[in-house]
Amino acid sequence: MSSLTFSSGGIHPPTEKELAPSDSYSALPLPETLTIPMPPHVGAPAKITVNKTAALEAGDVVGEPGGFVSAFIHTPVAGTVKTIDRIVMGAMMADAVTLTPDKEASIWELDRDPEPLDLDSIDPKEIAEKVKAAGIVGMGGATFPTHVKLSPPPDTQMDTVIINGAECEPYLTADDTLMRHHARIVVEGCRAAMHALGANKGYIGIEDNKPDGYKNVRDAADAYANIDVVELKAQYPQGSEKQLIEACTDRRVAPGQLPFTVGTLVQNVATVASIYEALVYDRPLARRLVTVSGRAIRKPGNVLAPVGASVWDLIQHCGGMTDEMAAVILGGPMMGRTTTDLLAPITKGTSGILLLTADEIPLLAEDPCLRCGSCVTACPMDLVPCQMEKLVAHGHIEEAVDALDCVECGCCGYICPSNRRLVHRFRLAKWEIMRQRRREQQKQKTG
Amino acid sequence: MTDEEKKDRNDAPDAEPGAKEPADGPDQAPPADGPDQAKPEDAPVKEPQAAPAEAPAAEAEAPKPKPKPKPKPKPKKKKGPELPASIQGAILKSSPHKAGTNSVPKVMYTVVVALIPACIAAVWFFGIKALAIIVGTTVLCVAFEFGALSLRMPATDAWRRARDGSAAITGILLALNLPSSSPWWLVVVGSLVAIGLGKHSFGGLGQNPFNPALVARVFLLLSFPSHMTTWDIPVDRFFTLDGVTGATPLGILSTDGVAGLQEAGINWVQLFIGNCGGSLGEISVMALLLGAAYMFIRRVISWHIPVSYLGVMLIITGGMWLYDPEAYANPVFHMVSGGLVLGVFFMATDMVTTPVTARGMLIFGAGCGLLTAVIRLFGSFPEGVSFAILIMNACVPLIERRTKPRKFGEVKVKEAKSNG
Repeated sequence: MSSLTFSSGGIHPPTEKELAPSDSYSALPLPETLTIPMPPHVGAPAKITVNKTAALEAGDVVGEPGGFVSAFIHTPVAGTVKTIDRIVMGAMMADAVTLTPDKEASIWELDRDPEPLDLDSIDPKEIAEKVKAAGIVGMGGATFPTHVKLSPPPDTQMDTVIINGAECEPYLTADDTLMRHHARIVVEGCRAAMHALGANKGYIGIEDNKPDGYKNVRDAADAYANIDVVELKAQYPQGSEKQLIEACTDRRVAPGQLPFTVGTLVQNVATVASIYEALVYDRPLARRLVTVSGRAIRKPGNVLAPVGASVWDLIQHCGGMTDEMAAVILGGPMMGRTTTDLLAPITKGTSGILLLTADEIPLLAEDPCLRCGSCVTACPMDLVPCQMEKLVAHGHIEEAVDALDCVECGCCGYICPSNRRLVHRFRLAKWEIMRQRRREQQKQKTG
Repeated sequence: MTDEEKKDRNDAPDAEPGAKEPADGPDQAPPADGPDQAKPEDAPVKEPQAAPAEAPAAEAEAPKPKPKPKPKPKPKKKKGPELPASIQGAILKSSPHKAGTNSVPKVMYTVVVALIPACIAAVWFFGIKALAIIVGTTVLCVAFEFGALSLRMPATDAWRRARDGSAAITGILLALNLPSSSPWWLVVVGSLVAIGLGKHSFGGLGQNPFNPALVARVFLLLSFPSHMTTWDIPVDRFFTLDGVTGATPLGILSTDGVAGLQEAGINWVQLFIGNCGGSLGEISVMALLLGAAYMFIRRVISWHIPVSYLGVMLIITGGMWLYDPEAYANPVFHMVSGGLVLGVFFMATDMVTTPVTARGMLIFGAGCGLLTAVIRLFGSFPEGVSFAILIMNACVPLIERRTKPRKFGEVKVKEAKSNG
C-alpha cells in the first residue's frame, strides 16, 4: 500500500533527522535549580499555589488553571521552593517557581513494558478528570489543554481518534524516539483517548521516513483491531491537524472549525503517552523528550528532560555549542521560534532545541514578488498567499481576512523564490484582525 | 514598501557578522561545568555578561499588556551560568527558518537559457545583424533597468537587482520581436520603452501589469509601422548583410488570402523549421519548442496557459477552416506561423503578468486564444498575438478575483445552502 497524504499543497524540505537519530535517548541529570514557568502561550496562564520555602514531593501541584483553557502545573521532582518571581520567556513574561531539587531526586523513567489497560474497569469520564489533574497539554508545540479537547460539546458524536506521529518538522526526532522505544505506551494511550470519547476507530499516523517507529507501533497495535497504524508520505506539513485528518480519514474540517465538527480528535504521540501515565501511575505531565540538534551542537540527541530545566542545561548536556552557532530555535525550523534567552526554562510544549549554523539558517534579502504562484501551489490550506501578503504589506490588513485560515506552516515562505516574509505578515494580519474584532465586541457590549 | 525592503536588506547583512563574532573570542565560552557558577555568592556581584538582550525591553513593555492593577514583581536579574557572548549576536527572526533553493535569478536565467535556441536560430537565418540586435537589446535593457533601479536604491542593490535576469529576458524577447532590418535607434527606443514605460513606470519587477517586451513591440509597431514590417527573407548562412525583403506568411494571408499563400509556396514544414520571413523570434518554431520543453522540465511554466491558448486557437481556426477552406487557412498553418509559439510559451506564460491560480491561467489562455484568432481571421492587422496577450494582461486582476481557489474544507456556498 502506498503511503497516504493530504490532497493539496505541501513541500519536501530536507529532513535532517539523521543529525539526532532516534535509536537512543538520554535522561538529563537534574540541574541545581528548576524554574517551572506558568506558561503564557495558550489560554490563561496558571496561578502559582505554593509558598516560598515549601517542600514539595515529585508530582505536587505548583500552579492551578487560571481559566477554562488552562492547565495544572506540577513539579517533576521532589525539592524545596527557592524563589517565586517573574521571568522572561522569549518575547513574553511568566510567573515561575524556582526550586532546588532534593539530592536523591530523579525524574521518572518512561515505562518500557506497560500493562495493557483494562478499559472495562475505567469510567470514560474519569479519564478526562485525570487528564485535567495531570495537567496534560498538547505536546506537539501548541500546548492546548488536552482535557478541553476530551470534553467536546455535549451533542457531538466523536467516532475517531487520530494519534499524530507524523513529526514532519525537519530535525525533530523526539516523537520518533518515543514511538521506537515506547510504542506500547503510545498505543495504550491511544486506547485511553478513544475510550474517553467513546470513539470506535483509532489511527496512528506515522511518516514513512520513520520505519523503525512505524514497525514498533504497528507491532504494539497488532492486538487491537480498531487501531490502524497508517503509513503517511513524508511530506511537510503532514502533522498539521487538518491535513492529518484528511490523510487518515478523508474528512475535511471546514475553515474556522475545530476537528470535533467531523467527529475527530487529534493528539500527539507524546500527549497520549502522558494520558496513559496519568491513568496508570497518576503521574502528571512534568517531563518530556526533547530533540537537541543542529550543526552547532557538539553531541546532538534526544533528551528526557524535566519541565523547568533551562535551555542552557540541555545544551550543556549535549556537549555545548560550537563557535559557529548563528541561531537557537525552540521547536522545529519551520514553525519554531528563535531565542537568545538560553536561561529560560523548557515547557511542556518544547519539542526541540536547535542550534543552527549560519549555513543552516539562511538570511536572504527580500526580492519583489514575481507572482510565480509557487506559494499558491504549496499552500496546504488552498489560500493565495502572494495576494494576502501584498494586502498586508500595503497596509490593507482588514482585507486579508483569509490570513485567519493560515496555519503558519511556512510552506509558502519556504518555496518563495523572492524570500518574501509571508508568514510573518500573516501573523501580523491575524493579530491585528483579532484585536479589531475584540475591540468591536467590547464596543457592542459597552455601547 | 520600499522602506521596508530596505530595512530587511539592511538587517540581513548585519546579522551575519554578528553571529560569526564568537569565532574571535572562543575562550569566553564557559567550561562544561558552567552551572557550578550559579552559586548565589558570586552571582549578585555583577550581572552575567550574556543576560538576554531583550530583558530590559521586555521589562519596560511588560506592564502594558497586563490590565490588572495588581503589581507584579519585576523580573530579577537572572542569576545563572555565564553564557557564551555569541548568543547576543544570534539571529532573531520569524519562522520559517528554512528556505528552498529557488530564487529570482534561478527562475529568470532558466528562461534565458530556454531562449537561447531561438536566438541561435535567429542568428543562423538572419546572420550577424540578428546577433547585434539581440546583444544590443539585452545590454540596453539591463542598463536601463540598472538606471531605473538606482533612482530609488543604492547602486549596489540596484546592480544586484539589475542582474537578476528579468531585464535580460525582456531584452531578448524584445529582440525576438524585432525584424532583422531594424535600425539601431529602433533597438534603443524599444529597450527604453520596455524597461521604462513597460516595467518601471509601474514599480519595477513584479508590479508591471503588461509584459514589457510586448508593450515595446506594440509601441514600435504603432509608432514606426514601416520599420517594424520590413522583413528580410532569411537565408541560412552567415554574414549576409544585404538580404531580400518580403512579406511574412501571415502578411501574405492577410492581403492575398489562402491563394496567395499557395502561390508563394509556403508550407508548414518551412514554417516549423524557420525558413520564412518574419521577426527574429517568429521564424523557427522548432527552436522555440525546444526552449519551451526546457522550461516545462524545470517547472518554470505550467501547462495551463499553453494548452488553453492553443486549444482555443485550434478550435476557432479549425472551425473556420472546415467552414470554408478556400477563405481560411488551415489550423496547422496558424499554429506554426507568426509569433504564436513565441507568444504562447514565452510571453503568455510570463508569471508577473498572468494569473497565479490554475483556473485563472486556463481562463487567461482561453481569452488569449480567442482574441488572437479573432484578430488574425477578421482584424486588419495580420498578427494578433501581442494585442491579445496585452488585453488579457489587463484582465488579470479581474480574473484572479473570480478564480480564488476554494479554501481547504470550504463547501460550495450553493451546496451548503441546499443542505441546510
